Amino acid sequence: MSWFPERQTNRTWVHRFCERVLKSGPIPKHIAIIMDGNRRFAKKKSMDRAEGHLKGFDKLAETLEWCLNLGITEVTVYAFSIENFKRSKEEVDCLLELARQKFARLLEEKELIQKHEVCIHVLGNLSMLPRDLQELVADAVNLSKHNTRAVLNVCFAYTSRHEISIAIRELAEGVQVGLLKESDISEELLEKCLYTNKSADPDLLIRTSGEVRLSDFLLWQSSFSVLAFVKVLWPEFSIWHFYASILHYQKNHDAVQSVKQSNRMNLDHQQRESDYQCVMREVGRTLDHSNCQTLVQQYAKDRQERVNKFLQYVDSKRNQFFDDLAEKRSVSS
Amino acid sequence: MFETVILRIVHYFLTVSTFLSSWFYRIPSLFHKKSDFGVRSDARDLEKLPLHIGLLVLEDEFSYKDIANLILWSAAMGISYISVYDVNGVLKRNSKLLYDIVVQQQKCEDAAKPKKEIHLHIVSEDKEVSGYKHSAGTELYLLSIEDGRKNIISTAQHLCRQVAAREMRPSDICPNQIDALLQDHFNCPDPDLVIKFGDVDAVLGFLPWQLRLTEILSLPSHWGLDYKSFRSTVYKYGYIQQRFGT
Repeated sequence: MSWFPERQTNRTWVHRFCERVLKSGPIPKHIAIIMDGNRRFAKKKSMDRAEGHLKGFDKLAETLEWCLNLGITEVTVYAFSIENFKRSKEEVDCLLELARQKFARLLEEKELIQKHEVCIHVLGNLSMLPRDLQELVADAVNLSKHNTRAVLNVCFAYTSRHEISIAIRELAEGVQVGLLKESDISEELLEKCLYTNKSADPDLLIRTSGEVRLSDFLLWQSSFSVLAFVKVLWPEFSIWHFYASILHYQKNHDAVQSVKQSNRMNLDHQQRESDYQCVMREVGRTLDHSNCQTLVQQYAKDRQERVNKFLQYVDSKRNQFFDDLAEKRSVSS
Repeated sequence: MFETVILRIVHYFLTVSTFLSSWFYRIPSLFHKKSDFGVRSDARDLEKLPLHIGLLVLEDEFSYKDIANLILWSAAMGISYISVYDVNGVLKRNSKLLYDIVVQQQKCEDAAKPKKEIHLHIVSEDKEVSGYKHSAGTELYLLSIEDGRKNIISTAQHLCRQVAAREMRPSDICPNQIDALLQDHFNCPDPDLVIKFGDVDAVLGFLPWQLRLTEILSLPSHWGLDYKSFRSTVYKYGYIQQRFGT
């Protein structure tokens, strides 16, 4: 099955009606999915594990369609964890082969990506993947990078702790080369160094198969996400489960938003406080009020400039990685 | 317009049904009070007991008596680390009050039995408030949103200072090292089980780094919670199998 099925899979008037009803309430902009249960599904139906994973991929394609129909513009999926490398060699190979096929397929269907205007990001420690797969991934990312209608983030060779460590490493490098001051490091800045720097935090996180933990997926980003733990195995996840998750999101929407908002206000306050402290440390304590305010404002402006410069540096470094890969591929082929 | 009305009705039915099921859940309790001894024998039936339990109180109003009960039940089951979380740190600010109630409730129980001492910690203040550090007992942590993402930031700043002082290279920074620093700071293992109390299905900023493999279970409210509901939730944890990605 392709990533974007051309033919709408039997979308009846009932579905259209449900969509209209759901859309009259708040709809998440970004959902994250842990697609768990492919292997248990295969076992239950006594099929090959590989076939189970394939069914799981088909379900993803279907779910993307449901999301687009509802106006959900960003989806992040957990495709392969760094921990998964510990599975049997046979299964790891099979998963990587599936990824290879699917990314190759994606490249064959260039027009479809462009038609749907979907931008694909692959998040994770790509250097852990075989070289040919890295190149395929880089091609897919480069091909779709100018699309803006919808975003699909595929977490591959990903764990959240690893992602946070990489972000901190990035920050430390910034401090080392003198682009950043240690006091510039804030939650906001760390967020911009995560793989998900271009996305808002997910509003809804769905995990199938009845497991009730995050398993090292988007730990930082899901602090304020509504959690929906669904009992069915991923290949059995139906549009009704999907609608139910959206209803669940709507039920929790107000409470979560209010906490999120007050947290944001707190962060702004802390930032102002930190700017003030930094100015005080720089100039000593004797300052009259009006003078102080302009100094703090100036400091905040300078800090913002430092941060922007640093982020540009990080961004260009990351883009370079993909460009290099794509270049090598075009040379070799 | 028509759609809005339908959606309202659907949500109304959902609310009513969750409300009813939460009451249905409480019926079997029959005001039966279980003693500490019974609790301990319950724990023996369990295959797997959490080492560290997190209690997330995501409700606007707090019942100190019920929270104290939860702490004492967990301690009596033999759970060594208990953390109680609320977003805004209300419990942290009122730690004295909560601790007094815990001690008081503990005294009310059977006087003949030996009791575990409960040590209260408030991490951000970097000090232990009550109890003797070296005596064996249960460690109780009061946490708020400040102990979550913000703590990762302090760790990041600490590492950056070290890099700036050339004590280490940026490439030396890895998950294990960050984990060790955070472990040092909290001085307790990652929570194995988190129980959320309240209608909100979200963790609302609870220790993101430490939540990696934590089982997240919920109960509708901590108000008037009876021992049986608490026990059945800990039992549920006991039956969960973890596969750790393999």
